Amino acid sequence: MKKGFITKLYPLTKAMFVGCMLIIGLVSDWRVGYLVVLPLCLLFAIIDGVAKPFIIKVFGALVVFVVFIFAFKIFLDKSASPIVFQYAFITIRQQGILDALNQTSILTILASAIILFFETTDVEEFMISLQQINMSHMISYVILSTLQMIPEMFKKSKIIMQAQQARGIETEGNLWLRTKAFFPSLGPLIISSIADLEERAITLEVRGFSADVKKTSYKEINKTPYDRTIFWSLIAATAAYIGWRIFTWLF
Amino acid sequence: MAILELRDVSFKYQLGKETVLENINLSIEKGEFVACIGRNGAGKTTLCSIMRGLIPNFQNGTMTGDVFLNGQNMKELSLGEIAQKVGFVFQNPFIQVSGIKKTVFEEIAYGLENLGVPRDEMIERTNAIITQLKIEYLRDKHPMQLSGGQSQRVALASVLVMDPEILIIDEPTSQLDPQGTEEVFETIHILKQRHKTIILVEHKIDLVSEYADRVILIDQKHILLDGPTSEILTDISLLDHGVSLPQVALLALRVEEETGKKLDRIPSVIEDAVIEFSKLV
Repeated sequence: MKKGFITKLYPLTKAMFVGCMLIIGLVSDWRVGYLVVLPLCLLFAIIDGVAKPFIIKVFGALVVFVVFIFAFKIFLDKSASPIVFQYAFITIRQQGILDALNQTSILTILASAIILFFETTDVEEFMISLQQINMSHMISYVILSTLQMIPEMFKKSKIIMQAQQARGIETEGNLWLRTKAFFPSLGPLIISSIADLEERAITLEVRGFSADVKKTSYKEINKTPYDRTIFWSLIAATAAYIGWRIFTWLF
Repeated sequence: MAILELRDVSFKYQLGKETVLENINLSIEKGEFVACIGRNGAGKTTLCSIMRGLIPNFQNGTMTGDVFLNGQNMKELSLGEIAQKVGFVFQNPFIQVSGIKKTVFEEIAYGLENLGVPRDEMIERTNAIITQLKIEYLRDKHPMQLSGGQSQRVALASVLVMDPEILIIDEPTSQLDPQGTEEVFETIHILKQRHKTIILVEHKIDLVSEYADRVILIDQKHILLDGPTSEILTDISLLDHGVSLPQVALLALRVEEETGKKLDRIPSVIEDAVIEFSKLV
């Protein structure tokens, strides 16, 4: 796979980008989330050739929350702000829209920055970078294995469903049928996953996981001068932005 | 001094009604190749887990007695120290996968990462073991997408690469075809030539008779037979404990029965059988 500019960056540089975007989002109104961070993340995704999965995942992650928050804010708004739209009993006011935009903007920032991060970062490289700043290898293993086990659990869930199908249980059809088939599969899925966890703990032990030595890594990842520049620029820019926000609030 | 010694070891699983093993005494010398045989459920895997220190550290139950590794009580050793000295290949290869690596090469190298082996040496040792086990074609495959036989070879490679003094191998060929089985045994044989201590659980008696120095039979919670391979694997009482004799031993018994002539000894390997049968001609 060809690596784009963002993908090549040191994982902690990208993690710093996510952190800075979140901090900026917290001290800003909706315009920063929707008009700056989201387009910026999309631009980076396009540059790195991951625009399609980025758009699909951001849309998938946000659509339900955004629709619900908009519905609640718009329909429950009792302010006296100007009416934007009115039809029958539906009245949409400016304040309702602004509240909804403000509340969903942080979600938008969170989803777009984190999805961009994982689309352009190898999880194992992220864990290695965390270990390089002396994070416990146990914590990094837990994070890494959790992220990598999720697709395995989906596979296992499919196998359980197929096993149920083989025994004559209806697993396909309308939503009700699918739901009826899905819930009974959760029991075996959870129990087998817990059993797998126990076995994996033993496996790790056999592979020297608890050996009291400094761990090494086959994969080599290093910071480049670009990373250092970007890392400190992000911190400086965020600090400057917060300073400016405080200044504008005070005066 | 024995490299591994069990003194009066008994074990009962937490949810089990009875003890699985009772008063086990076993002493294994450095460089010995010991095969552990017995019917299913006899306690072979439990014995392996005890020798590796997984019991009582990871599996709940009541254990009495002591296990000594190089003369030192295992209770005094850290898990990391045991991991460096005793390798363990599981019966089920799919659980031996770390779950965090994306290629077989990285999976095999994972144990070396944990032991803090420098990268250059890690690559060298991983490549060597891949070549030795003839699994170059699996090198870039995802460890979660292997067949049973492929997983078994990768599991074996993952432990061998750590170069432990003692290697406990629990049915390493259960999912392999005859050729793969033969290759695994050849690898084990090479390890024996390098003076590694090997403890093998295996049902394929013909291969055990060919390669092992010593055989122990576990049944009814105890070690019932313990001795040189040629002696144990020609003992007809094995059949009463759910274990078959090697094909050549069965053939020899049949020849004795059919011809009415007694052989000097019942052979357990083909070479001995040739000698014994030629005396009859």
